[in-house]
Amino acid sequence: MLTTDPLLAGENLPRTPTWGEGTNRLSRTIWRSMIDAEQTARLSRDGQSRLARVVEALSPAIEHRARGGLRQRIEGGWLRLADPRACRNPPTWKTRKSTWTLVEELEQGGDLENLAALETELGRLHALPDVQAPDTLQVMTIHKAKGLEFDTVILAGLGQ
Amino acid sequence: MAQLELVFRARGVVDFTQLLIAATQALGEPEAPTDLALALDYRIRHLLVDEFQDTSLSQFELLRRVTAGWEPGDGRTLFVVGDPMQSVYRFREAEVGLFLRAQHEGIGSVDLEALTLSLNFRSQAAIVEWVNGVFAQVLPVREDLGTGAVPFSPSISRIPALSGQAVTVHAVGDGIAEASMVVELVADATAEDVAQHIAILVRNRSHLSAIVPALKGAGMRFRAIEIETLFHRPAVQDLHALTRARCCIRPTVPRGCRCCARRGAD
Repeated sequence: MLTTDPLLAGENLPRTPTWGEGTNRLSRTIWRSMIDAEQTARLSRDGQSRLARVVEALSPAIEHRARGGLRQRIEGGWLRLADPRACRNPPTWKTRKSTWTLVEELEQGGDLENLAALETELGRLHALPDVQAPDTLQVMTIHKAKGLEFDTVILAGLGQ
Repeated sequence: MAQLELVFRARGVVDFTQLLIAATQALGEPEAPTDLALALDYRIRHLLVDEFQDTSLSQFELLRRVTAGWEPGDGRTLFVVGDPMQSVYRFREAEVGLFLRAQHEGIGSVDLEALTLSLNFRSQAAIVEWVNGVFAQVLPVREDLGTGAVPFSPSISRIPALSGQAVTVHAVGDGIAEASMVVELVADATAEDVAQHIAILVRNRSHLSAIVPALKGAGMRFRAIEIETLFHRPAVQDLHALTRARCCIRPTVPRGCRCCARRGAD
């Protein structure tokens, strides 16, 4: 997956500090490095094949980044990258649907104006309740329980 | 503040605080009411306010202005409901003070008659009695307007006491021990009556970090309401990385983008 690839991991995803010595050289994006045959030749065979897969999946959206909605571009990249088996797993699929909706809501003119807002909203996403579970056992915060009635109530974490 | 108002105007939005400020300003001072205040004065006959224990000073001021000029016997009524015992948090003390002030002095020119509700429709008598005994000691003995101290007001239950222990306190070592205890309690309650409704309640979602896995481990299915966050899930993390890649590979730097901001600082 994308986040486990050391080249793309963490904060340095879009850009890399100046390559080589000297301060006069221009910084270049990781993307430029990713498609630079001279640079990629230094990677292991496994690294090269994984990188090739990522480049192939991302290039349509990056090369034509002005076209289409942000959601379509990310979704396209995701589907090209994703393990098809993951798409058949309903809970994961539900998760992704909510994220798409968020991206769509926050998109302005094909871009996200405020990435921090997306992060805040992603932090607020919660898993859907297990609808097949009977309602005889429920777990929630005291706050959410206001106005509800139960036969037995277990108050946990009072010592924390 | 001026900058904030400009942003509100440009986007055509306001926040709750701005809404309150604008409403209060629109009514004018009680001594110099605006046309709007006079029009509302003519139209508003009865006012009901719920959750009055959480009223802020500015909301109190708005109420004072809306009811300015009301006189006893003119047929208009102000009805406020609240539970000052629900407002035990320190940051709300000033607001409980307002509740007590309204109770004793009324709101603006309107005097209030205090009625205390004591009948509990929800809990069986043995639970209500336990709470009466414990919380009379927890809450202050006397009320204090300045500090917002509110004494306990006992209740009586409409539901007869059930047999057996109403409230049991379990002392456990750590989170793991507590989680096993919770699983055991759920199993016992279910064995007693398979159809009964059981709730596991916590103050904070983080208190469930050991309980949710323990329930799952014991094969107990449950409904969790807004409990499991999704941000840490691989699917969401991947999408987040992809979105950032898409947004950051461009000449202009989006706001809130840490990677670009850091590069700019280099």
